[in-house]
Amino acid sequence: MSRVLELEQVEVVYEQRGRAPVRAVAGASLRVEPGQIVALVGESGCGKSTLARAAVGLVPVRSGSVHFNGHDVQPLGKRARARELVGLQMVFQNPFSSLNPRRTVGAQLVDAMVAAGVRRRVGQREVGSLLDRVGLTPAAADSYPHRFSGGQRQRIAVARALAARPSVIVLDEPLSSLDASAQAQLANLLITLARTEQIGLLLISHDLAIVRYAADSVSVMYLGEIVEEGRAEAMWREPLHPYTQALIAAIPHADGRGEMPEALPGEVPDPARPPSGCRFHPRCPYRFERCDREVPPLLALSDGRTAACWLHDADRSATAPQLKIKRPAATEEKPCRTS
Amino acid sequence: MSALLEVDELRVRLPTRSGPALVVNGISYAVEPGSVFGVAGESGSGKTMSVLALLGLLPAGALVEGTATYAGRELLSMSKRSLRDIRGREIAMVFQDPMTALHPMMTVGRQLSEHVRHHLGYSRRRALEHAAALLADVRIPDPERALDAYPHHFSGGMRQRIAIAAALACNPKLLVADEPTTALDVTVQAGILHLLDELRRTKNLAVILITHDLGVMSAIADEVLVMYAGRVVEHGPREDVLRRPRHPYTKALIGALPHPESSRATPLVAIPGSPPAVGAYPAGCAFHPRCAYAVASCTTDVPPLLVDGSRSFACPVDPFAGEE
Repeated sequence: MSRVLELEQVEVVYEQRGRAPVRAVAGASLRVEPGQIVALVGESGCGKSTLARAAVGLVPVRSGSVHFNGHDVQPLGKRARARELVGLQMVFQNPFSSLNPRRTVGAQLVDAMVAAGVRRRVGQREVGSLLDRVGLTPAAADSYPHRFSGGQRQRIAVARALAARPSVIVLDEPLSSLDASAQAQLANLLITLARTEQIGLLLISHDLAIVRYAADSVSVMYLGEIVEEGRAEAMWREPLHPYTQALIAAIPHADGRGEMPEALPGEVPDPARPPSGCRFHPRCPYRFERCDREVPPLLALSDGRTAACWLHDADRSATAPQLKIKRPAATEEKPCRTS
Repeated sequence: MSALLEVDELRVRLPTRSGPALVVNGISYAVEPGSVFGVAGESGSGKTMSVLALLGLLPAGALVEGTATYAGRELLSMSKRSLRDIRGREIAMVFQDPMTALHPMMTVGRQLSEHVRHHLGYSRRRALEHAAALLADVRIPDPERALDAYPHHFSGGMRQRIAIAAALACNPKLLVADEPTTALDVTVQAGILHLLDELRRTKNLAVILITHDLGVMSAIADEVLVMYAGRVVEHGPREDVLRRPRHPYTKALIGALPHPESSRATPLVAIPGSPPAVGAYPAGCAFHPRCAYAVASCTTDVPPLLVDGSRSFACPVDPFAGEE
């Protein structure tokens, strides 16, 4: 049986009395295979965290499906979570609130192993190696979470997810609250887990620069919809959707040159009242007459990439503007700047 | 040009269970009008405490030594009352989370007009007109309507703009911005950076920008001061510090960042270990346990700040020596 996480045309709707329903995720598909790091990128409010929660059954899906190892991922209810879903784990954004402050790190890891069906005694023996796998000393087991820095806590949270011997881990913005060095440590750890232990990772992030290092493939989300997918490196070099392009151009680089990042005008619109046609058109510098009328589908483009943008439509009108992007550099060694 | 703010040998001790901890240990710098002065460092390096001290906003029981001269007046020995007059009116502050600065149950208009009514004695109507103009300055669409709205009606980026507008209400000469863009998306961050850049150019506003993000620093700071464990490890013009750092810590911080032009196969190089806990700083150079260039003397001797032209650095070893 293949150990995959599969999201098929997932739609998540939040309803509140007296308000218009909000389609936080408006039909998104994703697939995470063993040993693969798939990133989901977008601005806050784009629905990426909601999609992550739907992937592990923390929010119910309105339509579409979520499957893990062929099992339907059901929303968490009063009944115990199905044994089959133990291999699907989640790491949350804030390592200060996701760990129990009143229990030692070791006790929390043992609990996680017991919950996954490991005998307590066996679990107690394995705590040391679990901590070692995330780059912490076995002595950390006897300490409480407050003794650790944000980066160390996030690695403890990863260890707790690993306690269940998962085949897929969903990580919601695990890097965003960390300093650069702690971020690099965690990113390297995630790459190791995927490469050497064949764990599949769904990495939610708003930072394309770090995602490019860690992830194999990237899906970019805007206002509940996936607007571009592709290999991380190719997307970084040559973003095909104007939104992806804007995300990359907005990243400031620590090169000392004093160059200002480019600001994307406007705000993320209210998801309860998304714009007509392409949802990005009010902020898009390339919009033309078609964009506010017709919804662009995810078009399959060369190299296994997809983008939901009319600029890439084969029979687009002659009046459509050209997407101005620098072409990828000829060699690996001398890539071009994207912005 | 004379400096707007001159900080000399600033020391801050915070009370902890095991006695006072020296969290800022002798830092000195000057900020010119219209310039952006960057303070960088990891969490716990003392960067926030070093500026809270200037504004008299340290937690109770904190001890401060040194001098901080703002426009000829000494801030650290000033009475609370005089300091309160300067704070908000001449020196304003913006924090990482705009909701710490904005009252959730007060309209934006009231929050923005209160300052000017208190500090500048404006009438209610004039203060509201002023508030609308401020909102327009920070590019809030439809400022008149925004005056009647509450902070929760706005997105994170808009709230930070409103917090900046509130900070600018009395036309301050110095803005202290503590991680103002850290909680924001890069797209929104870029907008805030453009706004700060415009303010310093059009209003000659000086900015002390505290951030751990060297990318943000690179975009806007004129000078960069890097802190580690309460001390200055490196200080100089932005381009010098970021393009050719002289301290191994600065070099390591830059090395941990994803570089836009390198190939993906180049791994990110994390600094080994973690920053020391506040007050539990290693002897000698506090960075030595994590430093790739450490020699025996680093474990015992605190390296002095060496001066080379416009730069200074607290390390006798040049991390790039022999590489060029």
